[in-house]
Amino acid sequence: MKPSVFFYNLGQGFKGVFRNSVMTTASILVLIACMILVGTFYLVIDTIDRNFKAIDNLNVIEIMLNKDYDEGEIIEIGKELAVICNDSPIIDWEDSCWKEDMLVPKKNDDDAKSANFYYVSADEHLDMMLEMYDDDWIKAIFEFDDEHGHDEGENSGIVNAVEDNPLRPSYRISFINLSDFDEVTKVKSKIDAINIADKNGNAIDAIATEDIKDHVELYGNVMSIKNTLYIAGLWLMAIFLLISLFVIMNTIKLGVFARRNEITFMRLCGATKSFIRMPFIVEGIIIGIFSAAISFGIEFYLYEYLLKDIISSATGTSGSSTIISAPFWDEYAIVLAVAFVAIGLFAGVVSSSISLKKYLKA
Amino acid sequence: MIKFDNVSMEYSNGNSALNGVSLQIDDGEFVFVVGHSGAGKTTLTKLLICEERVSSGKLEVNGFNLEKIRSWKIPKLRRTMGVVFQDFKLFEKMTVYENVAFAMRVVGAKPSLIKKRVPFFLDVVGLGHKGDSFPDQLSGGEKQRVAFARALVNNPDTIIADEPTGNVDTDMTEGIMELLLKINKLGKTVIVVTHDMNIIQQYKKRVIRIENGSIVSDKIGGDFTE
Repeated sequence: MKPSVFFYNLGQGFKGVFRNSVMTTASILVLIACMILVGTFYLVIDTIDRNFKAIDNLNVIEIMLNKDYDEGEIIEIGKELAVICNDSPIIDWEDSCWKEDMLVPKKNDDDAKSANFYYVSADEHLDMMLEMYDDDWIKAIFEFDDEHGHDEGENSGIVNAVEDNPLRPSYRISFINLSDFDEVTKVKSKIDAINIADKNGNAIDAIATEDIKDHVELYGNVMSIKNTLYIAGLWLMAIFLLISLFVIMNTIKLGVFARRNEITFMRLCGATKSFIRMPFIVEGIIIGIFSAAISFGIEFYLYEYLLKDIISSATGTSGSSTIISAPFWDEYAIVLAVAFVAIGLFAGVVSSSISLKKYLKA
Repeated sequence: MIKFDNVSMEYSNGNSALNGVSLQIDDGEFVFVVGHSGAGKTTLTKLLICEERVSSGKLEVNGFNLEKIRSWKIPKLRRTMGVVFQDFKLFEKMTVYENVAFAMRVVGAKPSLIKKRVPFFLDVVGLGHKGDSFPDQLSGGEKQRVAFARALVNNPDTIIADEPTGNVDTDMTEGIMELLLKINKLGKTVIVVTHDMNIIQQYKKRVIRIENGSIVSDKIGGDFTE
């Protein structure tokens, strides 16, 4: 395209934007609504995903062991659990960290997050807790009174916890798919039925039902919210995109109608279809890009000052430091900018092309 | 050269507009096309600029075969012709200069060429001093001249004038006809579609008369009578 033709089309496109300022404003507002909707659903779903992954062991059943069990009893329970894991289709046994010949089956640190069956000692539980919570929380959880004869210094809670760990060891089993409720229930009842022999050789219940800790319900709820948001987001996006197309189409149609004599004359002079179409497409692109820029700014403020708080309160993590939110500029800025510009260009180009169809018959 | 070979044209509603028309207009000719309203004159001009397509027969215009022409070639065909409309079709918000320049701009002409050619053709039609005027500041005859300048500015081979004297008074008619003859002398083929019997008889040129979609006479000279 010659520079003169390019600048002519650009100029005509800008003129078109201001020709029907009311309709142009309406187009921009509807397109902004569409973009913000798309952006917000994306941010919410992504934040849920991040927190979902971050909530420690959400797809895990944790079997809390009696604090008094010795290593032999712990291995005995591990063997029983290994048989259950091996049989279950929702547990990937190949990915297990537990080995029968290990004295004390425990997780391998490197594979900790991906392993599907491993042992966590009481000390490891304490380490994790110390990592996760600040000193005040630890104090609140572990501080004992004078009667127990423990320190009461500034770090008394932490010192007490380390010296006299009240936590219990456990086995952790990760499920491939926690939403298969029937299979999860079956596994839980098998775990509940594990018996081991006590010191006198009598069979005892190794794991009580209340010692099997799971997040099945929470997992189901979060998945259901996520899926609902996803489907609702897609539908709303489609509806808003259609409305945007319709409004932009009408805005450009007004411009086309106002210039119908010019268009007829241009055709008869020998102007090509692309030349005639270009100013209107430029008009659509300007509307699209302008809407994208405004939407991007609004989305940033929405995320930073509103969305994070809403997600925190909705997921029950309000006030704590456990909500995971990605930095907007590092994680979302490029994706949102590209998506918004793509939506804007799509809406602008498609609607202007449709508007001109009638006037461009040869 | 324009060559109709047994051309018929039927609209989508079934109305037959031209029936087996055959004629040839050579390069540099001056031709009047006459006939009553609805006789087929407009259809004939629409076929020439490819606003309508022939239903049957062969039509060749300035080297383009119109019954087979691809849509992307139509702008190229139209650049070989300049059309002057009865209602001028000038843009009220553009000056005379801008109106003429617009015709060049829409075919992608360079600004330097526009600056050179527009004043030249405004001079040709005698409106070199009116470049900054707006159409509503011009008389009917002057508007018609602007329309001619606009039709000429892209240097077409053929000028088609639809009722060029229809909206001007008798004094202006003569001036416009002189202009058309001047254009013809520049080597352009000129086709004038008209009802005006006075000019047909005054200027002894070829007259093609169409009635009910067929050519009923094709004579040279001023002795044409309806």
